[in-house]
Amino acid sequence: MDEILLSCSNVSKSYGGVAAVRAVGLELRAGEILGLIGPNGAGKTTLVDVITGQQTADTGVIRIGTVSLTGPPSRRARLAGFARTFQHPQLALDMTVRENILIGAVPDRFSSPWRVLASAFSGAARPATPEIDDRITDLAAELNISALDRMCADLTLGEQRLVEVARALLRGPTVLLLDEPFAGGDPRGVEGMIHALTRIVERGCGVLVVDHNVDIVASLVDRLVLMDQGQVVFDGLPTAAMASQEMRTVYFGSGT
Amino acid sequence: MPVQLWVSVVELGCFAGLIALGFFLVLRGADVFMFALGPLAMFGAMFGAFQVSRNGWPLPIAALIGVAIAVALSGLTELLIVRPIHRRTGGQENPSIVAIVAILFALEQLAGTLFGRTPLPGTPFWSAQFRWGEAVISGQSIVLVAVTVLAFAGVALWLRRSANGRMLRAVGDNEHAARTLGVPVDRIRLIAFCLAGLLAGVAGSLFAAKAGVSFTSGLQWTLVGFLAVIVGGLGNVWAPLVGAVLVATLQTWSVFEFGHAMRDYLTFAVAFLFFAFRPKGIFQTKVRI
Amino acid sequence: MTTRTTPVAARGTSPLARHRWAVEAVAAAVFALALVAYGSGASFRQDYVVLICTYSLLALGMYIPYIMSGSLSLAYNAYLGIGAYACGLISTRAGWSSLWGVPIGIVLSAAIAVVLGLATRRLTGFYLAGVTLLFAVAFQVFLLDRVSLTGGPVGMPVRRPHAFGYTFTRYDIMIGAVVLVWIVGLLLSRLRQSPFGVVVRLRKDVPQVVESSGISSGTIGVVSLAVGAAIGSVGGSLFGMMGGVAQPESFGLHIIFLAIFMPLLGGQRSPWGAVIGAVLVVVFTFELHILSDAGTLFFAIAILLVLRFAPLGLLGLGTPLLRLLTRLRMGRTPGGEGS
Ligand SMILES: Nc1ncnc2c1ncn2[C@@H]1O[C@H](COP(=O)(O)OP(=O)(O)OP(=O)(O)O)[C@@H](O)[C@H]1O
Ligand SMILES: [Mg+2]
Repeated sequence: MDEILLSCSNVSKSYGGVAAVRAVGLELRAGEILGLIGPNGAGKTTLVDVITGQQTADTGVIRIGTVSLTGPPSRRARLAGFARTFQHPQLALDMTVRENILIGAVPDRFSSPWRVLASAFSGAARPATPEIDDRITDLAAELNISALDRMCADLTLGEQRLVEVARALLRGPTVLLLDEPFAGGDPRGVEGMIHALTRIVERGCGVLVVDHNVDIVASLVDRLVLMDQGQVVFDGLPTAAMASQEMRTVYFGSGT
Repeated sequence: MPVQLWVSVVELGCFAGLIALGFFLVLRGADVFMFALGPLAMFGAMFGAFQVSRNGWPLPIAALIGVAIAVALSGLTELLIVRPIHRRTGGQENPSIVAIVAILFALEQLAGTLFGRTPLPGTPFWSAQFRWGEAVISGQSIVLVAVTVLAFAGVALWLRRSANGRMLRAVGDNEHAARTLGVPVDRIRLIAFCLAGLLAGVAGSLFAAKAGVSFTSGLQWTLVGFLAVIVGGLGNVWAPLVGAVLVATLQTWSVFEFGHAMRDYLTFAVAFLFFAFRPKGIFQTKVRI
Repeated sequence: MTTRTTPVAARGTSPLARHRWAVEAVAAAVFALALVAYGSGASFRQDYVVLICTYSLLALGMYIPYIMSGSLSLAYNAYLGIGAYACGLISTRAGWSSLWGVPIGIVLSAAIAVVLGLATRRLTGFYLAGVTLLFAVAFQVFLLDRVSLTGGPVGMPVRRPHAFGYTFTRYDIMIGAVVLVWIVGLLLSRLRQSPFGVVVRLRKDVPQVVESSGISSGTIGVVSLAVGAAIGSVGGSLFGMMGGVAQPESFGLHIIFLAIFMPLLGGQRSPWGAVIGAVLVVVFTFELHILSDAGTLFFAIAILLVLRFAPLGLLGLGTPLLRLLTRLRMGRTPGGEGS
């Protein structure tokens, strides 16, 4: 399987005077896990934001298949089948883990104003959703998330990341973008995530993983992209990336 | 529009400008729209008018204490309500708004209970009348204009020259960053609130002489100042004054031309149009992290 | 797979979870009966009960957009007013039963809420609050000014509603109002727990998540406003039918302030908090004669105290108690989910 799901060409984004992403080209194929690494401030998060529409690109095109992707994040997520996590976990802290995950299962019920209204009425008539609850329970077991009825405020950073990943997975995404999913996680959680990722990749999902933990990323991914100062400086097999001159230059100063 | 109405425009513009300058300071220093400034102005003015008309106090003393009360209440608002809520909610916007609206409401009710629910007349500081062409200009309007110009020039100077003034901007832009840089955020916020209270108190006691003051005036005053900030923007210190004069012109003209109802329709329409077509001026002061 | 059967089983056996709605419905019904009993006395008490119900519907109308979704769109006096004036106009001008004003008011106020919501969709926080307050002022001025349509400052009469040849008495209206609040409260409580409620509540804290899940945050906001406006409008209709008149002074900005504070006073975690807040407002402002006209002041001070010291409201004071109870229960149930 090497159908191209997502492609970026010549994408740039600056914040005021800061050029966060500069003329980046990137491709993600079906069934592929792509690692994106780079030092702090390299522009990784900005690139993810520009792809999903949290930020708008100054230049460049993002395509899903052959269709160019524009508009607000919700539209892009629907068209492209995106699901993502955030570097700073975005969870409603005074809601339960189950409630935070649940939104991943229901976007179809909110795809037009009329459907939103209809789901308000049907929600008042029948609030319980046992079939979704079961899916959440299964997913939580796979990811080693223990108590689903805890408040998110009581979770560690690692657990919060797991909840975000569960929410994204529940969506059944075509393209999954993870921003530092392993940071602050315990080994059991990381193990659960990796297990889940390999599973969805088998059914043809494309995954983009941003993380600073180069060891985990390099052992997990099929291809590794290295970013520095807004630009892609290396794109290739993880083994080649780890041995490359660019890797040394970026992480250890002038590579000699 | 008759010349006399232009005098009204200037009076209303100066008054709204002072309130808007108070908004400006708190927005800059605490990133909060201090909706309670109108009621603070009302409260100070009601206090002054009540003591003068019911208890026969001399005007300067009554007005001075009224202004002092406005300053104190504004500072207490920050210390006792806004700051603790801001801390508890990690800087979320809505709880602060609700708290400020609650203060607005409480001040109205307190004034109504203490000073009565009927309008009180204000007393001018300088009751001389001057003829100028067809227009009559009261001494009170001259005082109002002079105080407004002084206030704006003073705030502009303070922001540029004093250490506190320069730090004010940093705090409003990014409180977290300012705190890490060692800026005394709490003190700066308190100063912003107190200064705003001072401006509101002065504005209220000067403007009350024009049309009197009642416990419901506060909200109207807040909304006029709000509109002045929306129109003027937060680009520089004088922006609220420019906005205020534009708003005063529009309101006075529409009342003259079409009557009172049209003034309120236009007020809403203008706020709305500015949000639709010039929101940048308002939102750009916010930096997202 | 054994790990996952345990929580499912636990959910099935939890008696509180299974009977939750029944318990809530019965508790609310007891409360409703108490209100009716109170209102069965002197005639003015019926007015109080309907006022409580009107305020409850107002606060319940704000519950979805304001408490759940975090939107400070505040033009609720307009929705209430539309409900009352629709009943007045349909009964005096068209000569129909004023009951027809209820659906007309619902549709009209929901439509206005949608337009206002779309027009202000880029605003949040202070700016949204300010501009919708300006709209609220403009609406009240409109009621005062368009004498030919609204009757101006004196307002317009609202005829007693009738259906199938029966004209409803004030007592009937009171019963209807209490039942309505009971139904709307229960429905909203269920709605809050449903996927719709979860999405709306997530929108308040993490709008980015709603968007990145493929759900338009703006649409959710507008629909919430429309539903809220519709509920508020029903409250206005009730108020008009009970008082027999629709007047501008009933739909001023003060009711917006009351409405913002009612759920905070009662508690935000449940729509019943809004109802409790409405009861307190009416008790503070009308029933406690010792306070005379300082009642509203006491209410305002109570709000400040609650905001500062009891952010979860009066119902929230019960939460620590509930948590204790749940802990005790969970200690005994094997396979409880709190592990
Ligand atoms: N909202 C923003 N406003 C202004 N500048 C920003 C914003 N977001 C990011 N930047 C800047 O853009 C550059 C790239 O940031 P970005 O967060 O994309 O990097 P990153 O590779 O994700 O870094 P990290 O590994 O620390 O997460 C940085 O210089 C950062 O300061
Ligand atoms: Mg990042």
